[in-house]
Amino acid sequence: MKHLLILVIFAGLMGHSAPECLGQDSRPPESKQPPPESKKRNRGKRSGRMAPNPQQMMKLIFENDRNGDGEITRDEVSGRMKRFFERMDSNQDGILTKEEARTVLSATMQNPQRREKSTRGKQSRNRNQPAGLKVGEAAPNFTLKSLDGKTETELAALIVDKPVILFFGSYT
Amino acid sequence: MERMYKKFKDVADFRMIYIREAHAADGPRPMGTGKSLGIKEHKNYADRCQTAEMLINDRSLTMPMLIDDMENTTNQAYQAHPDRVFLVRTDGRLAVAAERGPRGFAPGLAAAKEWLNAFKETGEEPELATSSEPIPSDK
Repeated sequence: MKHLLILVIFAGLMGHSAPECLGQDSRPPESKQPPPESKKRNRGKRSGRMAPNPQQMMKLIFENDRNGDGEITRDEVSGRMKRFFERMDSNQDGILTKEEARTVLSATMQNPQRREKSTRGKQSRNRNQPAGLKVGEAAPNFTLKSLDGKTETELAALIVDKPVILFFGSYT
Repeated sequence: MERMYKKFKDVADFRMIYIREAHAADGPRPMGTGKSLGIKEHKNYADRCQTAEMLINDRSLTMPMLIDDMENTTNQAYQAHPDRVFLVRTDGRLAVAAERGPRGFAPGLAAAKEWLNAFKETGEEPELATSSEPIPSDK
């Protein structure tokens, strides 16, 4: 149950729909060991639909640290937690340190709207993408066809000699 | 927008990127021309091109237009829906990233104009447009 909760919370954070997660994960958690402290577990339960704060998340995540060395290795996680582990393990070395987890968490949780939006479905899908572009950021490259379909334009090629002004819009 | 293009087309490249209709007659928020002309959501790329052509004819646009693909890749990358103005420096960074939608369009144009004027005068690319609006906190 605890695992499932973590997964659901994570799923929300990562922009997936929770039901999808629940539906697919029929495999029971491989962990036979009881959680080290039961009060943590309660806390996880209480958070239910409301996403917990980063400290709570850290605790939940590090309950997977079975040998208690303060780091989670790839073989300490099981089931769908594996996927999230891969996302959190930013340097992909198979070891999730507290530092890495904290960085990822704070980046995700600082943007509460993202969480809220992920439940709103199809209409908001494009808003779940990188949180709005800002002045000074790199412009995402694109290659698009012209109306007649004859020429393709790539932004990277276009900006070589002149700055580019982009107007996004539609007829209506 | 068209005026600005004519004024600055020698110093900068302009591209209109045609994306999903904002107010298609069968869309989530039908209104204005979408409703009165019965413009529907594009079902395929040809539909999209056709409506884009209507737009060009209707507003006599001379600015080069690019059509976003049916996966709305570019729209998503730029979070541009329903409309949005950007100015990209030659180093690939954004000098203007206006607010999305009608609220940001005019300020975006103004910011881009200011930037272009400075660029035209000095021949150097200003760092950032001073009057560019902060990014919306989407509602």
